[in-house]
Amino acid sequence: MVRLADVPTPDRTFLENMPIPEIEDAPCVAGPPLKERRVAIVTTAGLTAREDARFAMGSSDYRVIPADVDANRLVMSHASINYDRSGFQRDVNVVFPIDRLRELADDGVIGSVANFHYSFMGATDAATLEPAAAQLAGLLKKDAVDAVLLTPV
Amino acid sequence: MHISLIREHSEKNRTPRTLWVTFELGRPLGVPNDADFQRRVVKAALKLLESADGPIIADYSEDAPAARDRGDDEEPWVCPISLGPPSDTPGDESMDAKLSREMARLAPWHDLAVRKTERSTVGSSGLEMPDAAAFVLSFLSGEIPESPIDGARVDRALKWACDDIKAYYYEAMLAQPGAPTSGDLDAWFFGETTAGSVFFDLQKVLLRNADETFQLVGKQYLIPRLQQHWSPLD
Repeated sequence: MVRLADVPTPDRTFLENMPIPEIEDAPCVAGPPLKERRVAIVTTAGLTAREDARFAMGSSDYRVIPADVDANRLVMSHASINYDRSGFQRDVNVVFPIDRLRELADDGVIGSVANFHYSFMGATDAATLEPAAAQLAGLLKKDAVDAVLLTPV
Repeated sequence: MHISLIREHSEKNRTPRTLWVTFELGRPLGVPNDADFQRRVVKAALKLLESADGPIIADYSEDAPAARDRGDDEEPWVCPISLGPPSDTPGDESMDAKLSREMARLAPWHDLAVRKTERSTVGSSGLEMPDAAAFVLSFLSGEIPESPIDGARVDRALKWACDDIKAYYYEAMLAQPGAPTSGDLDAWFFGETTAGSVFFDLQKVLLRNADETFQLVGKQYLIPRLQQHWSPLD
């Protein structure tokens, strides 16, 4: 069990003092039933396809991960070293649950899985991600996505 | 929907729909190779779509089995193979030779890991492991070498090469008998291996460099905060 209060110092001190943008506007809109939703994954785990450029320290851009990706070929170029990577080394789905989404679509729990998923490198000033996030919103709309699962590390 | 690993951060940024989980950082779905567990987490996150009133932070009810730390009543994990030098090894064996020998001992286990899992997360740098090791060792003289990766700055190449070396060691260890936690793996790598010693030596060299870019790599991107105690900084 991990709660911030249980995290040992100095990690807890770092996380407690991390600047977090405080967003006043929190739109929470209704949508179609879950069984009709088209779901994409957006992760901040710094994942890239092996063929794509790696993330550098401070990157504020993103990488596209096609739905038919062989997830076993994803690599992680996150800048931070202060989180566990051995879970990802054992099973990509513990960070990027693409197989779980495929199963839920096959079972009719969700409508479908998006054609494209997206990856950022989360150890970045959040404000610098805004232009890419705005662009991503347009791409998700074009893919008819109406639900996004955000996974951090 | 956002899976949150730190509730206090989500309370500030007010994502419309958040599922807070108590899992270890790096494991938002909780448990590797447990599809049922992961499916329950995803379904709990998806369920938040039923509400149009937000922001919502729902506390996920299930904890993941201990991933980082062992209970007080559990036997400590020990590395099941010896990586120490043979008895006839000269006392002044170079760091290069020590690292090569250590990697050679791990190679069969890493090969087994790749066969078992049909994957490897080694590959950020694109360098073969001996080349990654030689590149990292070349910094220890204090001189900054050329980047071995076309188009990549040398500080970035160094970070990716270090990530690859670490992934190689962890994957090799995960193929062996036993069930090390992430804390076991970190303590083993940074506390017991030659590669870990190289990382600490590298950190000291980078922190002495006049270029702030390399100082930053040494300060933030090599040694996890929880492992710095093996070689504390002044």
